[in-house]
Amino acid sequence: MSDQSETTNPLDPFESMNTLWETNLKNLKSMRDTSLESWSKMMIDMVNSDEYSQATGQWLDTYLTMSQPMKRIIDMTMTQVLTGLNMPMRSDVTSLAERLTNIEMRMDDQDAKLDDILHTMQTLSASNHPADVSTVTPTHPNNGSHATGEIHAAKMKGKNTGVSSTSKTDAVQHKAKGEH
Amino acid sequence: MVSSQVPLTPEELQSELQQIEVNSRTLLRVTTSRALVAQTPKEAIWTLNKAKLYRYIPVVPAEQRHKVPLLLVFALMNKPYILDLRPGNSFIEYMVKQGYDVYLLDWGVPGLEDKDLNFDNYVLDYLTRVIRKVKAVSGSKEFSMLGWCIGAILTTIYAALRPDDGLKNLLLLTAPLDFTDKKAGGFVRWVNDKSFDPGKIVSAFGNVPGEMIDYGAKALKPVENYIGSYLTLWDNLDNPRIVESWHAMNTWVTDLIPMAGATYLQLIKELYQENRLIQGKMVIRGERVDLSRIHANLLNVIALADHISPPCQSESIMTKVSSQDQLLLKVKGGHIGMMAGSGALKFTWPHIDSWLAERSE
Repeated sequence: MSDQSETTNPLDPFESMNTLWETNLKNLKSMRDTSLESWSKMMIDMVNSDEYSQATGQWLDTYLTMSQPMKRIIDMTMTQVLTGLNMPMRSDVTSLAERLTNIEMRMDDQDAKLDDILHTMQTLSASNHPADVSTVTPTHPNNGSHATGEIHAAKMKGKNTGVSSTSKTDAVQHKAKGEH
Repeated sequence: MVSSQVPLTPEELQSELQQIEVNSRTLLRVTTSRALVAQTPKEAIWTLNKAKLYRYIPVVPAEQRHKVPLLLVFALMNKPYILDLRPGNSFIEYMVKQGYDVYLLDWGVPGLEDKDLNFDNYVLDYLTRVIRKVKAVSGSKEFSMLGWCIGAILTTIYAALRPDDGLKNLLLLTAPLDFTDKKAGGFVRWVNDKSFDPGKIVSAFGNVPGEMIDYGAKALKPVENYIGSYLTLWDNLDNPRIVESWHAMNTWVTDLIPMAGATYLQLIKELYQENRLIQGKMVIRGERVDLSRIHANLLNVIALADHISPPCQSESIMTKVSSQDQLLLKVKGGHIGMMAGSGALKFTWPHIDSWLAERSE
């Protein structure tokens, strides 16, 4: 404050006006921040109170209860209209989507198994013919597919590769542990 | 925003008016448009239903990279690009530069056909396949997994159900796992009120609308979220660094996605209300989730000012797991600010990196 009065020219009214404006602005901002802070604390206390939880819960419950009959009527009407027009309903589309996801999962498992087979084949080829690794699978597709079957069978005996199968195995092991 | 000087000359007045015009344009732009987010180069390597697995293009030569890949699993009710918000403020970009082989699981936006998806599906149908893919692509039998918020619940469940699947390092960020204290935080109080029925919400909407979840999160700190955030922008309209940061964060905050109804029901009933996970009573597709089976190295990061997952919900897992190597890291900041705020680059990310680097060889 003392620094400010030293640099202010008392004969310059505009400079005094600027200082006043600046001070007022700072004060206003500080007032705003202080009031927001206290308001914020108050609101946080409020939303963390049991009364607020109760009021919100009851309001939501009332809203959902009131909207249910209307929703049921709309759903029934839509079902009748779509059936009349011989068009699929929402449930038909969603069940189709669920089936697609199941197919996707199976394909993903097949993909992973194929990757495993390819990897095993490459490892076996590398160990049998260390100098001839790059020529194994792509150049002899018939031999390759034959070998795939053998390796796959051997692999399935030795190791379980699928996700769903792994889950089952783990579940059994876990159960067995629990029993003992 | 407002000049601290009274314009005295016509030139000063004109300059002041120009500044007001520029600031008004900035305000309009950042409140009505979407920022460019998720800029770190990546490729999608796997998809299932709406979920996608991304691998980030490494920038460090293979011989200098860490051997153990890192899989990031974010929450279900927000987009995962908060981990890659914008260049210079991106956890993913940072970790890629530190030499990690980084993978991100994006759960996607559930449609009405996904309303029956629950934790069982997300963990055993999706996460197991994602991990299989990560291992196949990286060629590593071991992997690290970072879960944030509900992503941390999913990764914890996975770690307990498949402890011998190669999980070497488990990183949990603001993990809501223990709901013993029914007075800790607004969410726990709200959903434990006897008039609150999650089943009714699910039967009315199918999936829980993003707007409803967003309201719940914002209502925990209403003044900060509905007023304070905009005042911060107003005060800093002439500061491009703060404006662009605000724009990116606002883009993420307003990018809402619904939550699958069955998952919401399971989250509220089995976790928030019955607290089954920490008590070892949660059952996923017939298997009990026993946290003592977790033996991976554990880094548990909690935010001291977290109002969404208060620290008491995250701390107790340290005593439940069998991990010999475990660390509880407490950082300043809130639920999101801890990882995406200005202090993240200086504190949180380097700490995560230094912990993980030692355990990724």
